[in-house]
Amino acid sequence: MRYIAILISSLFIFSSCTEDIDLSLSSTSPFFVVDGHICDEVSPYNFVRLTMSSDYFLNTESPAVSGASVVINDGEKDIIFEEEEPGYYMAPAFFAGEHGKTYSLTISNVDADGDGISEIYTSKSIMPPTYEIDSVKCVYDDFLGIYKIGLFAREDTSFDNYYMFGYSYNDSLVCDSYLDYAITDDSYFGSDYCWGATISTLTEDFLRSGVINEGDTVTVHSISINEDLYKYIAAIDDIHSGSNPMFSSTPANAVGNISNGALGFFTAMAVVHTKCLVEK
Amino acid sequence: MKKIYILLFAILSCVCNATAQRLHGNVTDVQTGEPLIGATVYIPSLSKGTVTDLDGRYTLSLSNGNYSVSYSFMGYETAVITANINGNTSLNVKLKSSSQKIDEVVITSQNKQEQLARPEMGVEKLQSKTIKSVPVLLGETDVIKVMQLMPGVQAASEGSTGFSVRGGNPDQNLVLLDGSTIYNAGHFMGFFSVFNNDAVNDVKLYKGDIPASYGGRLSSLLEVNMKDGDKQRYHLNGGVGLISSRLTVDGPIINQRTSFLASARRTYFDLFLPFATNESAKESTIYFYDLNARISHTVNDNNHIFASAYLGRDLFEYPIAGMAFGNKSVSLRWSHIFNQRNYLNLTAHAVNSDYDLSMDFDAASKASLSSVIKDLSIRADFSSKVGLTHTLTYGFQLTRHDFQPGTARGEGAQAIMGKIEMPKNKAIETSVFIGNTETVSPSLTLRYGVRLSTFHNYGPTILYKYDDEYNLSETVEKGSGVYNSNFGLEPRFALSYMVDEHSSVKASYTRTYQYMQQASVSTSGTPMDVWYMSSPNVKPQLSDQVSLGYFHNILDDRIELSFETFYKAMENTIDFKDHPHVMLNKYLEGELRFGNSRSYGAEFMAKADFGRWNGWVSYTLSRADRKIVGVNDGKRYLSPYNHTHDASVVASYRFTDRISVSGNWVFISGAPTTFPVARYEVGGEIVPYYSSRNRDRMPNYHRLDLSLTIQCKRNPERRWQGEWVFSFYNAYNHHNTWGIHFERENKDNEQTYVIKSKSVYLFPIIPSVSYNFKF
Repeated sequence: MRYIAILISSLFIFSSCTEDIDLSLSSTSPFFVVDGHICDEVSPYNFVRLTMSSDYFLNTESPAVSGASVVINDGEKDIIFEEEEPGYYMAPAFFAGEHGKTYSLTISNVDADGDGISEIYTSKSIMPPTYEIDSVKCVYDDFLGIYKIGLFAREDTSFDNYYMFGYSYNDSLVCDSYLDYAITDDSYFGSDYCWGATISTLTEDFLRSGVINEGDTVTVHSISINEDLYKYIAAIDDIHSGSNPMFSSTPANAVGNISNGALGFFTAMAVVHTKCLVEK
Repeated sequence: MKKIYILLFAILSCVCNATAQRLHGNVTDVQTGEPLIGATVYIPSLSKGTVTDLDGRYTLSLSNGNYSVSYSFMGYETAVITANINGNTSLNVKLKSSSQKIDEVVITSQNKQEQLARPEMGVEKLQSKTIKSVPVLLGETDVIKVMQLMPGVQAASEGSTGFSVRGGNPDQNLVLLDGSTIYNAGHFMGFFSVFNNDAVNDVKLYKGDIPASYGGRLSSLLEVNMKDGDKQRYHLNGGVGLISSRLTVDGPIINQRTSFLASARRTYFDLFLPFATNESAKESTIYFYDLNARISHTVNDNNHIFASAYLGRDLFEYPIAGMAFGNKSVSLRWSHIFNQRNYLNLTAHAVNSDYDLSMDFDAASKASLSSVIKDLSIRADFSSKVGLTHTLTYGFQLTRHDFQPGTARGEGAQAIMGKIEMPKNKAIETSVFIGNTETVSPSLTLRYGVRLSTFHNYGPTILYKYDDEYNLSETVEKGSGVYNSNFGLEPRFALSYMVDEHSSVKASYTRTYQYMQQASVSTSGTPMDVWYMSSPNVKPQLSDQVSLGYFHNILDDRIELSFETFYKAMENTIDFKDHPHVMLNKYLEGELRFGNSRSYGAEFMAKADFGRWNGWVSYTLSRADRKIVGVNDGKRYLSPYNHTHDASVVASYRFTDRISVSGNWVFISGAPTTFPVARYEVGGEIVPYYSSRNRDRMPNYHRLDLSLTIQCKRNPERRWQGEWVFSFYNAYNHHNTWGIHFERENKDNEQTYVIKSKSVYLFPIIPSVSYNFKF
């Protein structure tokens, strides 16, 4: 609802213009950063990435942290993630998470603060259950001039659910970063059935392939996430838009779930893929 | 009851000087018969004076003798009348409007020496005519925008009618229209104020030294009074501007006794929407309007009544979403004169402020949301002159607040949204107050008083309790009846000491309590920000302010210099936790963090009036900061309304009776803000990392506005009188930063690692023209 308010309000800003501005920002000593996710399926996205933070305007890829030992324990056994590219520690080839299991991440053999003594960083995440989706639809909206992707699914309001939706177009992943995904919780939901609520929109600008044709394939990735990740992404979303005096609250850090003062997030997520064809 | 009243005055009268006589009467406009509020009645030989009250009445205590009494009012010719006082004397004076002064920037109506002697600090007064002459955005004359040019007063953000007084939050200003609280004083997302200048008589802003009769907000009191209609002749006046048109009619209903005024304003940019090329724009509605009406009636010499009403609304409808918000208020007042020394104003108010949102993106997300504030209030203001040296004001106010912070529901069978209803907030706010202005000696005047305010939350409602971590710990259903009470004793004190004929020293101390505040997470806020109350979880905010000032007039009082310093300490200051969830959140109180805050500074002002030339220069140096548990690691940080330097220059020059120019220039230090100190990568995003809150600054703000007013040649045969106003807002086209954001660069449809900082500015140079007429 807040976004509706912002949407409407932003239409009131009648003549705003944007231009580059030079800012000189302060800096701080670098932090160790963990970016880890595992799914309930075999996936190239089952990996943990280790980097260091940098000055805000460094404008290059974050420096990788190599040579660390990355282990995930699923309550029964240790699963070792091997570094395949600098900073990228990949899950074993046939690894897939199981619903309800708690995954504990331990990163060792890292000396992020450069004091000659290595530190240990930990985190954990429970693999949420998936939910059933009846169908998805991708239909052109004449009025708005965009394609809307609608979801038809049963909603269980008996406990809190957190969802994340993204899609691939003709099997190429369109949503490849957190903010490309739409997130929602079900706190406002009153109905137990979702009748085609728009979970994402599709425009040619957004597609790297360019043209949208009738009959093309859209694959919706519906991801169950945990509350803490929901809040983390919501916080990134909140600060992403920068500061303006009307809509933004004071920027503040997104609070991650890694121990020992490290930044970033480790999460388990359950994915369902549902296909449909583009309709005019 | 009446007996008790008489008895009370009998006792009070014992302290008075029995030989004192009274000169009393009223001051009115000779043409319209309207009472002139705040006109100065002054006796130079005694250095003694007073100003007329809301009904244009005045009383002066004098001993027998002959006096030369001057009656003056801004925009009117001063009348000097010799009064022979031998016993109580009544003198009703009619002042003639000095039409050539219409466009002067005159900011004080009072006799300048009387102003020096008055124990009143940090008060800014504006008359409608002054307000009209200051150039403004898109030619929309605006009371609040002109107030923002005064020392210690700043716009909450560019173009905003939200304002910060001495470092306070915009919701710490009590805004009253004919005494009714206006909860949302902005139109069009706050870019225009709800006050149609054609219906405004006068405006007064108290920046700290608030009289004991008012309270409920920490920072300031803004009193806006509507015009009375002419009791003798009909008038029509109005204007056509770039974005809106105005029309005001006033005149007698019963000659000399009853008058009316009706004023309307409506924007019309939506009329151009059908010509838009964009389909969705064609089907949109966007406008706002204001309607003001006032009827006043003189029952007899001792009884006057008026009724005034305001209705204003913004409407925006887009095929997939809609928004509407506005205020309604009604004020009814009975003024009764018991005798020359005692009178009463009894006023009743009803206020309604609401907003509605709707969305219709698809059948599943179709939903609506509404929020409403309702107030009912009654107040009595008594005024009594006791002896030669005391003027007592006392009374009470009783208000019932009924807030529905939000009800939302899905619309239609396929809607996914359920019904969400925020618990209602209801409260009774009361106050009793008494104040006295005492002339201790010809050079020393004191004003002191006390106000007892109370605030009682009552049910039925649902109350949420929170643990030390601000997590919900208990849900309690409260039945009807009071479940939480707060009390505040608010002393007020001011003194004025005339050092010599041309200079005075003033000091004041004010304590205020605030029981209601607005949940704005941004600096300027939006109409969707709900008001919430003190409760078992939220203690009332408290402010103690001291100020000290030196006032000096030079060049035959043609230049008035003032220098004021202030220090304000506030307790139970509220801020939000990081990433607050404010809209439609039942657990809003769990998002709040509490602490204390302070602001201090110095304000300098020089006002000049050389006939053709007049204007003012003001400069404020100040600091405002906060210390809130749970925000910024508990360390002190700057308030978002901290502006170190704030300067404005306002000047106007009259070439001939028909042509005048005016201009104003403002400079404001950049507002505190928070920029990232580092970046890191997670989930494919480059995420900023912040250290301390508000340690960076936005770029400094400066702007020049100019206007030219040309009155059409007047045909003495006709009553029609027109004028053209041409203006430039931001005349040297400075791109003042409104917001800063950071954008990740895209190359060949791929995101790169390059981030650029971008500045958003709202207004380049904006020319405008408007035509005003009087008939």
